[in-house]
Amino acid sequence: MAAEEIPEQARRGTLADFRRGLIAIAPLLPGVAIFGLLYGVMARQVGLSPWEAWAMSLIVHAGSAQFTALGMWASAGTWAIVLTTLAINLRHLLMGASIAPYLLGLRQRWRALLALWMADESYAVSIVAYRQGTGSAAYFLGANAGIYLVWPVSGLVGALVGMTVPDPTRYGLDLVFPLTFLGLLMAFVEDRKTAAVAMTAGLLAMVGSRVLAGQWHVLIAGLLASLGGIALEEMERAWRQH
Amino acid sequence: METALRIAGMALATFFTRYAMIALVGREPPVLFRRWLRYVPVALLAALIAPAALVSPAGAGVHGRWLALSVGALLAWRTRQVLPPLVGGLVAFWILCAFRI
Repeated sequence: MAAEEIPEQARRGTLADFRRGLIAIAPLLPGVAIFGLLYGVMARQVGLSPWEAWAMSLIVHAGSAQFTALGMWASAGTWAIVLTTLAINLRHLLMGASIAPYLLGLRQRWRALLALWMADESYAVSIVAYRQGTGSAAYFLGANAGIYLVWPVSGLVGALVGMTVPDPTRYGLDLVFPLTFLGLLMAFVEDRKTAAVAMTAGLLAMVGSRVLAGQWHVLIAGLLASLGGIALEEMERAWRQH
Repeated sequence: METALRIAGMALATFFTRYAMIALVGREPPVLFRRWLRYVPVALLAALIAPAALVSPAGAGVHGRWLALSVGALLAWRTRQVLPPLVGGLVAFWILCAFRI
C-alpha cells in the first residue's frame, strides 16, 4: 500500500468495476438514507419546500454542509451560508489531493464529474480500493452513483413525509455515520505510524471541535496529523542511521 | 429567488473544494507530496469520526456514546469490515441506553 504504487496511467475500469464500486458502497447506503430523511424533515422545519430541499440535495450534494446551512437558514445571510459551506467542505481539498494522482490521464470532464460527485463515503471506499490496487475510475463512479441514487431521494421523502423525529441523538441514529467510517478507517491503519496518525487526528479533532466553530477542526486535525506521519518517518530514518 | 441563490452558491462552493486539487495536480506529484498523501485519508477519517464521541444527548446516559464508539472501533479493528462495527456499536448503544449508562 505504498504511495509508489500509483500507476503511470489512470485506470479507467470496466462495467464490472462500476458494479464493484456500487457493491462496495451498498453497506453505507442505509446510513445515507437515514441522514437524508433527517435532512428532509429538518429542511421543512426551517421553511424550505420539499422541492427546494430536493434541489439542494441534487446540486449541492454535501450532507454536513447542507445540515449546517439549515441550522443557520433563518438567522444568516446568503454570503454567510456560502462561506460556511466553503469552510465545511475544505476537507475535500485534502481528499481531492489524495485521490488526484490516481485520476491523472483521465479526460478533464470525467475528472470534473468524479469531483462533483465525491462524497465522504464514496471517497473513502474508492481510496481504499485504489490503495489496494483494485480501484479505477469506473469503481469510483459506481461508489459515487450509489450515494447519488440515495441522498436526494431520501431527502425528498423526508421533506414530503415531514414527520418529526424528536431527537435523533437519543436513538443513536447519528452514530451511524461515525460507526460506518470506523470500518473504513481501519483499512488505512496498517502499521504503527498510521495508527499514531489516526489517534493524533482523532484527539486533535476532539479538542478542535470544542474550540473552533464550524467544521474547521476536521481540516486542521487532518492536516497536522498527516504531516505528523512524515515527521514520524523522518524520526524513524534518523533512528536507523543512528 | 433568495433560496435559489443560496443553493447555487453552496453548490459552487462545494464543487470548488472537490475539484480544485483534482484539477491542479499535474503529471508527477513530488515525492514528499506523495509520502504526505499516504497519511491524509487515515487522518481525515479519524478527524471526522472522533468528535462524535463527545456529543452527549439529553435522555441517554453520559457514557453510552463513547463506549458504543469504542465497541465499534474494536470490532472494526478485529474484522476490518464495515457492517460489524455499525451493528455492534448501535446494539451496544441501545443496551447502554436501556441501563442509562
